[in-house]
Amino acid sequence: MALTGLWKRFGDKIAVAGLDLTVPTGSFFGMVGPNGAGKTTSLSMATGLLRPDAGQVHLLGHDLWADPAAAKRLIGVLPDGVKLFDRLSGRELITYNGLLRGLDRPTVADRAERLLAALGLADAGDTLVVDYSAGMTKKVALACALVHGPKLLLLDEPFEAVDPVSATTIRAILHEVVDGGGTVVMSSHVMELVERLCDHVAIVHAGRVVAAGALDDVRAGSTLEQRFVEAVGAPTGTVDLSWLHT
Amino acid sequence: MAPHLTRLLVGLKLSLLRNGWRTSLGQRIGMVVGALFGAGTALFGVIAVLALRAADPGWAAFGVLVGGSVLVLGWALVPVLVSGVDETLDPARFALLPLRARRLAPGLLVAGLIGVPGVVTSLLALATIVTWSRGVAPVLLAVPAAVVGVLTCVMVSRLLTTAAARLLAARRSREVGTIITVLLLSTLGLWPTLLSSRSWSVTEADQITEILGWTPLGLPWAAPADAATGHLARGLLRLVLATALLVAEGLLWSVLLDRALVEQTDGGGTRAEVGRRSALDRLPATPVWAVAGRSLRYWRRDPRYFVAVIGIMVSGIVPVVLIQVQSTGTHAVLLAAGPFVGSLLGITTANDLGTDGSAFATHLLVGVPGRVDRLGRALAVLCWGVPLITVIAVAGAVLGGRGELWAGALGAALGGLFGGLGASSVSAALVPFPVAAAGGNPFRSNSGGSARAALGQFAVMGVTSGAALPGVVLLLVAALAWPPAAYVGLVVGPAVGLAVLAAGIVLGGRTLDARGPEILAIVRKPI
Repeated sequence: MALTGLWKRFGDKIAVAGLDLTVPTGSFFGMVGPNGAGKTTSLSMATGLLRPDAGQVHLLGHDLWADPAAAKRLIGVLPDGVKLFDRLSGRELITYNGLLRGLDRPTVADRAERLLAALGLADAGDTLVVDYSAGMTKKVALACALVHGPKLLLLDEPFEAVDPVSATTIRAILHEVVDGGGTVVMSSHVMELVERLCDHVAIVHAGRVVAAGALDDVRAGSTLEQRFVEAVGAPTGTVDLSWLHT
Repeated sequence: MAPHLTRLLVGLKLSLLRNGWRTSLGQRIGMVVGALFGAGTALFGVIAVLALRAADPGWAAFGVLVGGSVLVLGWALVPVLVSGVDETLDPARFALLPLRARRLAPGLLVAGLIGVPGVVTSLLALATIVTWSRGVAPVLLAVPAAVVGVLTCVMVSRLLTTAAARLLAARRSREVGTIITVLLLSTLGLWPTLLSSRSWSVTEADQITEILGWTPLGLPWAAPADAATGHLARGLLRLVLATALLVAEGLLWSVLLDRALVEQTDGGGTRAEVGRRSALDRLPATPVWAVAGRSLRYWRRDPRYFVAVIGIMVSGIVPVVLIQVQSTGTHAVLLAAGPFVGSLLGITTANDLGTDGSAFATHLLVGVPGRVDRLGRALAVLCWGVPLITVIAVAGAVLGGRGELWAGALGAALGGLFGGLGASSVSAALVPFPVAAAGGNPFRSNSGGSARAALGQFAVMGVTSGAALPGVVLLLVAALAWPPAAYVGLVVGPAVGLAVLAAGIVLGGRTLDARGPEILAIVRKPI
């Protein structure tokens, strides 16, 4: 995946300001950054949800904005901040995504069962997604992104609101994708998580990539958090909060 | 402390109103429309109430009582049935603060009076003082009665919303509330005709006054009427009872409020399950039929679609009832039932992407081709729409006494349905607008102040009428001059409609392919 010179402005606020990012095929790539750094905006532009003001997106050799159909066929996306067709049950929703992707019914049915079981949603397969908890919704959305066996996964905050047991399952699934030659790109604001999972990272700040590369190169002997604070700049001075001591 | 908190809450309500004004043009238009509507209601209401000054006491009592009771009933029911009307001072939001109901209640009550409904109600109540300015005693009773009446309105609204908060937090009951409201409103036009189809005698009005006057709805409004007819003691009794009731409601409310402040009301409990096997699984396993199957499930499960179907059925049934009641008109008008309902059904999907909201992102991420999206959704409506419209068109012809023209009615009806779907197919992609999420307040779903969207809806109606026209003209020819034209209509009507539908799917599909991200940006906007 290669993002080159991405720009996006909302009104007078520049959300993404010339973002360049290259993700090596087969890597487990983490995007970290503070809230409002432009992670979700960048991923939206990289997945076809948001048209960039300038810049290009290449996914597995296809220019996304020139030939969306070819690029979208190969990717699986877990978006953040959009709803699902939540009047379907979990099973129906996964099946719907599979059928839209052109899979035949027996294949979809088989994969839907497996995904529900793997993500611990087997008991909730016939419950409407609108009645799911936040964590369950995240998991069923991930299942939808996985049903067609994508070569490239783009996940926006995949571990948010997910319980520790499910997080372990999701980690195993993502590792399986990478081990099978696939590429996973995920955003998160939890440094430890990215440090533990990913082999490549990019630090995004104020709509730009301020550091990127193999995890060890970016860390450069320190911790990711340390490097992150250096890159982003820590708040200076301390504010008097002495009443908290009483 | 309590007055201080009241001031704070009133200030909060005012800031919320001010911020609402600043948020967006759409909000501002909504507020202006609300204010104009309120001003209109107040103007006509106050004039009517003032006019009752000249009426004899019996009719004045009848008017004030019925109006006042409707007012109290409205305050009680509307917030419960239509969730999301005004949650600005929802008690649940104070749950984290160390506050008791006794301190919170006065402020919430006063804040409840701020806003269009509160001002209109207060003005109407003030006007009743003029109605009863027929002597010292009636006025002396009318003033406290007006105050008690207004406070009763606010109190019942607070009491019922707090009591129902737990219930309303559940998705299912919110949706049922919406459906009931829309049903009541869509049959609104029917009630005056049904009620006025018989004449009311003075004794009946007196009976209604008598009964309403002793209900919690009418107690405060009836008190000055008694004084005006010389029953001062009875009037005083009613005023005392109304005040006692108000105090009792206040006590009950503060008990419920205390409980609401420590209870979690985030719904929970209800989880809708669906059957694992469905006939829809037998649809062909192609993207088009997948979209159609998903739409069909939504027509049944999403209250917004469900309500639209109910509304259409009602709009088909209302004229039938009206014509049966007023037996003077010509029944042959029922020939129009099929074409009318068919066209209406066609244009219900004129903003189907807006109804999707941000869930439309799924289609965008998968890269569903535009024409697949458009065709699938149209097929879903056709699946049940064609049989339904056939029944309505043929039944309309038969009930209208022109059964021999069934073919013409059906041709025009299908032409309207197909044409409407075709026009909707384009407009949904070209001029989408955001609407309230399922279970939200359906009355906030306006065109978001966008003139483009409003124009789009007009264009949809225009194109639909145009598409239905050949069938309608042939139906008229058959009805008035040459009956065989009905059979020509059965062929020509649907053929023209289908041509419009095919063009709509192609054009709408192209628009969707070209503007996917822009459409998503519009429909995901919260309203």
